[in-house]
Amino acid sequence: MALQRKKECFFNFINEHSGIIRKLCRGYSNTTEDFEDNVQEVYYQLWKSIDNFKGESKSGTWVYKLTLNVCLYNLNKRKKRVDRPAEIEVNPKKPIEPSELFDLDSPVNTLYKSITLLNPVDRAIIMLYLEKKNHNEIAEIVGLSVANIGVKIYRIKKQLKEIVDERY
Amino acid sequence: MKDIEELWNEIPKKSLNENEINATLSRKSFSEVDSIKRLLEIELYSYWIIFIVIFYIQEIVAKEITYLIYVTVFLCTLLNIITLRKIKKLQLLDDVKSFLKNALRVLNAFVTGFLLTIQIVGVFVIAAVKILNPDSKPWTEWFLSDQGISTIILFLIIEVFLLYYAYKFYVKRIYSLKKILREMDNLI
Repeated sequence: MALQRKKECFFNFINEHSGIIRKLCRGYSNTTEDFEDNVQEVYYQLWKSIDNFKGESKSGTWVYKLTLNVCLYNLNKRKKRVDRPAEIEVNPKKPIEPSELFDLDSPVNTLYKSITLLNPVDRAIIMLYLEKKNHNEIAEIVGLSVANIGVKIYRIKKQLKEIVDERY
Repeated sequence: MKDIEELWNEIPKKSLNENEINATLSRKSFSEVDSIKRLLEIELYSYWIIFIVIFYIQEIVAKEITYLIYVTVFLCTLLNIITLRKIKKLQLLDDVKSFLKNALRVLNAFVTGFLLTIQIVGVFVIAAVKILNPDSKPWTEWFLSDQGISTIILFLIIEVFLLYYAYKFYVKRIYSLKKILREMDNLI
């Protein structure tokens, strides 16, 4: 894929999916720095993988898988920067502002704090459920059986409700 | 508090402009798999360079040392190739469970390779020190000599540091990935 074409394709892809990438990354980040690291890593990996995307699965499913894999793999990991995509020019401008997802007084922040209390896989499942993904799609993304996902969603919803009611 | 689903839907799905995407990408990546891959590739190239150099200067190096180097290079190359093959199978586009299982295999292979390499290189260095020693004492006698004891102590100190490094950065993460996979299959 020619570089210009790849860039175009990448920017369109990011524009379409940056919302969900940020929402999912927030579920695995306790600080804005963690959040920025996760988002950046997802973009970096997307940039590297975009040639491999041949439309075999829905692009949304592809992005969910990649984002969750990056976030879960990097949980509790010491972050050592090693590389950046060589084709992307360095831009000294300030990175994206994640404040709306970290505003201490916002109910959204409260929701994320509750989600963060769940175990990492349950977090992924409930966020996909809240994104209105059906059980088949969630099972495909997470790699569990549909029946298993059904049981888990029931239990996680109950647990999340209890956390929210108890704490807030 | 509002209904959870309602609240989730209220989160703005912010789109980014080209500059913002560039700004995010301009920061260096912390991809661990990439760094492991690069490290293994550099090691592989180094082994091949050592092999070629030794091949050309074998006339001026003691025979035992040449064999030791060949064996060390062969074993370390084998370990690196096994880990690199596992890394190739690691696809971020796989489902979460398959990805985590493969990631666990990569980390296990890397740590195993790392630990074996330390032992192999350690044994190589100890043997080299002994062979290059002009006294040519028998092995048991040499181990009990001042030089033998100090070489082994030095090796053990270096090994403790390297083991701590492996534990802090990789073994802990292996446990963390195993825990996630256990939780995945747990329905209770």
